[in-house]
Amino acid sequence: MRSMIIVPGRAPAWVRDQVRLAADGLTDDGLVLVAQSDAFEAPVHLPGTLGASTLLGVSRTGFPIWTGRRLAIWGMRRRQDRTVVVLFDGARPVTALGAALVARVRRERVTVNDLRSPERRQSAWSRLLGRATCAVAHERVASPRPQPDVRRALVYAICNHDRAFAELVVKTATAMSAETAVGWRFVIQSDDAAVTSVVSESLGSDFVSVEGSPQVDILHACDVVVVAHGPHDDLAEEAAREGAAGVIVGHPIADRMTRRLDGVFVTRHDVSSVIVALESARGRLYGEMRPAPEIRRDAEALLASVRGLALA
Amino acid sequence: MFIQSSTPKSTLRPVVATRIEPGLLARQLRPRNPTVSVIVPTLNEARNLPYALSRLPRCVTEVIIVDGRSTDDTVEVAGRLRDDIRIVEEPRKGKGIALKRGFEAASGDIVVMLDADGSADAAEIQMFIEALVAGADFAKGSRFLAGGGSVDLTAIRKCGNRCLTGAVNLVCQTRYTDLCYGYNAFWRDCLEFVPVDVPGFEVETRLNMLVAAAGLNVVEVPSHEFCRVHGASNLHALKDGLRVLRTIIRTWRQIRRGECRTVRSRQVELEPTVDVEAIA
Repeated sequence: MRSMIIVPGRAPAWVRDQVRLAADGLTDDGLVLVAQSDAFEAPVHLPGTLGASTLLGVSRTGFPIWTGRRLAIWGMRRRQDRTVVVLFDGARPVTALGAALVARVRRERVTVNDLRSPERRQSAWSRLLGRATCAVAHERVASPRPQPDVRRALVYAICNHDRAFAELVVKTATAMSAETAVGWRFVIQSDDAAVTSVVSESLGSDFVSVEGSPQVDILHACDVVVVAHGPHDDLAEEAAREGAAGVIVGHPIADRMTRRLDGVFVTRHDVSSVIVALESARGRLYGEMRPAPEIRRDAEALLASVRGLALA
Repeated sequence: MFIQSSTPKSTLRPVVATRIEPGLLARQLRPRNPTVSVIVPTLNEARNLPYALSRLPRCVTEVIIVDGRSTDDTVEVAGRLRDDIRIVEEPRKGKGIALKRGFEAASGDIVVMLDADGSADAAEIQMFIEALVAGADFAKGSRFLAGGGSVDLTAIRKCGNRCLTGAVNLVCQTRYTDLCYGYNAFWRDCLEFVPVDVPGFEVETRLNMLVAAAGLNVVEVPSHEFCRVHGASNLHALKDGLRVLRTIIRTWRQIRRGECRTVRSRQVELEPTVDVEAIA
């Protein structure tokens, strides 16, 4: 079963994460194409990051997630079985409506994923076209956006017995500038009592705390999972598949690239690289972000709806 | 004998071809595995420093942060980012002054100038070092060579850079493609030919003109300039452009009057003391 996700307009970074997660889930049923009328919003391009390409990434099933551009949105593509049109604040309403109409004409099952903020005022024209797009679609899945995310992003560093790695995470927390540190909170899982004492002596518990044993609820609630390259790589990969960001520290390819195609960030075993990876993953570098649990919840709601529609 | 770079022609571009004469810069004594000092002038760059230092290659042996009275926590952050970092506090402001202090503090065989705003990819240092080890005295970054580029240059800055580069090429008889780029590397023994005596952003222009006038072997290396990550640049296109122009005129006059130190004049000084046969 072929699926397509259409992003009409220049979408912010959190929409990119949301779309990627939904696309990843849809690859369970077949090939997925993500068509963007504009590149994703990226005010800062960092060395080592991949630019826009025909490949958005590789899914959990190992299939590629392809990207398309305006021609694909306007119908110059193979017929898909399911089409999702993403609406967000700042989307191009004409493109969204046109894409939905083209998909209906081509007898595709159309779902509108409405990520617009109810609080934000829109022009009458945008409201009208948005309503028309929803009317054309078979179904609308609304994800009410919360107020701008002002909480601190939660980093869960899984260290176990690895004292050197735990020290690196503590150093990372202390080396953040005051302005950067405001947006972060660290939970370090370490069995080493020395790490606990270092943290309690030098850092505030509201900024960095240490847990003795792995906590599943923190793993699900956190925004970034950080592990050292080795046996815990799968935790970072799992986090990336679940809407959070995964960071693998000390990865051999980190000198050449900053993010793998499965979405996992890779860094060298040094403080600067880890700070850059955290900022790239869930920092305010690319504007407003959303908490990972909300991204996960909305993606799951969309997937359930799309699958139910296909069965019907 | 003319220097032939071992790297491909498309990536490295000799801009000043110089006849090597034995013993001039003790080139034969330069190590094949040099130590590398990276000089990073900073002014309120606490948030950007991790980006500037995150991709430093492993061959870098020393990082010197020259801080010009930052009011944020730049110095504290710098001290925690790397173990091998040295912090030099400079009470006076200005990139030229900071670089001068950094050059004085550097102990590596090769000195690299790196901006602290995260706009330069530190991984490119490897290319600069390869060019230097291959025989160049001074490797200057260029955003306008094949393989280089910039996402930060505005049309006005690009136009001004072109005009100033053309002026320098005319008066120094060089073939530079990029004059006002702060990503350069050179052997530390070249410092005696390039006195850093300007305070501001015109320091790169001064260096580029002096190395050409000195008869050093200069190679351009393609480099990609990214956007500054956080904050606003301290560079003012018009004001600093005029300062660069004044520096070009001043340096040109010095070159015409023969006031610049050249490799040839250095050879005359060294001849009685250097045993060329022994070095060879």
